[in-house]
Amino acid sequence: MPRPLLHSLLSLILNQLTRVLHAVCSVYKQNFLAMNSNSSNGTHSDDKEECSVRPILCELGVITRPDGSAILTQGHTVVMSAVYGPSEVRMQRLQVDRAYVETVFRPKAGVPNTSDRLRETIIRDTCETAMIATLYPRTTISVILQEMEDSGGLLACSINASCLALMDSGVSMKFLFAAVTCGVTEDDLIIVDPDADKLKECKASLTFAFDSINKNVIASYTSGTFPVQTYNNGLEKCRQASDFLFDFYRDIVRKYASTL
Amino acid sequence: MKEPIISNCEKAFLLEAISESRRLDGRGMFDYRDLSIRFGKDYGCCEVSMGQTRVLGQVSCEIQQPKATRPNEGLLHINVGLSPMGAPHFETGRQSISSIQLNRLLEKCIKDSKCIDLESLCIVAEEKVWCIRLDLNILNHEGNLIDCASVAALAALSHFRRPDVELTSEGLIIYEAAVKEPIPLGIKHTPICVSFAIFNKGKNIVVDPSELEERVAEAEFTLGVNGYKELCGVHLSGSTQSGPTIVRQCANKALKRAVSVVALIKETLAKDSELRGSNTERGFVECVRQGTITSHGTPKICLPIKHKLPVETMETNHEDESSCDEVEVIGSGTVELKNSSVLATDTAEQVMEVEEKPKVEEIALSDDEDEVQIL
Repeated sequence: MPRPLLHSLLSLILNQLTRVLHAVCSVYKQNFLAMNSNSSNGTHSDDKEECSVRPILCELGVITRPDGSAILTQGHTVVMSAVYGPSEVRMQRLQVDRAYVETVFRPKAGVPNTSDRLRETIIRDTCETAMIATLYPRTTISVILQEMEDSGGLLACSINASCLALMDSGVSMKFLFAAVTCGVTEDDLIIVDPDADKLKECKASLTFAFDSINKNVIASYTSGTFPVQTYNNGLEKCRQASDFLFDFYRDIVRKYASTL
Repeated sequence: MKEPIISNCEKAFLLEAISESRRLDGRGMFDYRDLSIRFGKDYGCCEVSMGQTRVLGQVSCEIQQPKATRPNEGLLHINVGLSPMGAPHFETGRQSISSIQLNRLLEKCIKDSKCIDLESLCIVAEEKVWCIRLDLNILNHEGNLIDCASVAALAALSHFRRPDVELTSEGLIIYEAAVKEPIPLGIKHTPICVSFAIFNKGKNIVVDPSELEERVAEAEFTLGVNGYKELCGVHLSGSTQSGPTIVRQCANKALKRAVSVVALIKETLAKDSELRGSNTERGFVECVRQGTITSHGTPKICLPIKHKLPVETMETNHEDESSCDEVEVIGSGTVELKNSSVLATDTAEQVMEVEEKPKVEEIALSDDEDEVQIL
């Protein structure tokens, strides 16, 4: 049998297969739809309100000087991020086996204080876990974040913005990461992605960052007091909400890549 | 990181272009880049972009003890933060020559020209006055930082409102914005900076220099001018053999520029207060350019937390998730999601087709070779 014919036959079969797969998916979709409408009419109608994510807007490559940049808005929280690197490293920070990752967080008013430093450390550790720093020995990769507006969930928004900027810069990464904040109310209810007004009524807030492959926790930051069970519940809710962020990442890259 | 050096040929090329009245970005010698001002959700917050140069300004206030020499005057601090975001050679926490120069120039233009009414910021003489702090963060440095920063400073100061206070027998009461309408600062005049780069021993002058032009120029001449066509600051950095004619020529250009910039600031402020009055969406959310290939947005989405289908394969899993998004979306976001998936499948098919063709050719070639060998 001539090889070109074989190829065309194979691709035909492949096409058919994908079509069947799509059909199966649409059946699943309809089932899911039915399930969902049941749940929304049923007892979980209150949960729905709590588990909503604020609208997200993002633009990649907003500024010209850095190697990668992004502006991310989650509700009214706005963070701009930039990545420089891999570039020249200062002698005292040189590491022979890996890149030195530095993070700068700039508040919009006043000089950076200790809480900003703490934020920097969390973001740096998260970024360092995700990127393959060993590919760039004797260099530095700097991630810079600028707060533009804060109305709750600034840390989560900063972590997400840094991931988008790293994606834009083309630094090699093991996985993507996304962070979600949730608040714990006085009666131990969990609110996913609360805004500033809701956060004021909360007794505690939990922020988790997840990797995109296994959805494992790569960073966790909490404030306030809460029972262990609430922590686990919050973790699970945030993990499920992170799926939406990873989808968002995929959508923006798909849009970007399909037009280029 | 050190500032990248400019090669000699780059420098020579720019100088030659300038001497022929050409600029690398295609502007005329006296053309300015586009200026746009956006206000944030909070009072006193604005972002100004001049071409690709971007500066974020934020004004904040607190109550402090006044200076002993000026017991009945409020305080005004100006702080320009050269964030490493703007350019890789800017470093945090260290005052560089350029940051000190920027700071001093802005102080000269705004503070020393007494554009803010500091006496109205006094609450109790010798005890309590308002301290106004202006922070400017450089987001992107593509030349002419001083002009951009000065516009951001003026816009932020004119946008800012401080909370109302009242002195009672029990003490000082600071009213929140919801209780009593906050008060704007008293601004007597509207100073901004206009810079010129001077080349070739004073023969060529350009306005609004880009980063490269700034570094190649032999001198930079900055004028502080206000909306009433008054001078309130002059600064020359570098050295050039220029006569008084150049100064006069620059001053005339700067005055014209100041009038148009101040008009733009006022217009944007009026638009913003109109938006605030009508309680519509505002803030930096509008700052993201939508509809470009690098931008993406989603409306508010409710997540179906309780029910999740078991993961079968990567593809089905993804399809399920996107479908549950579509179910819960309130708004027009569904169309966008569908479009993006259609686009992706289209391109995937195209890629498949493209990949097939070269393979066929290769195979044909190898067949030929086989035949040759047999022969």
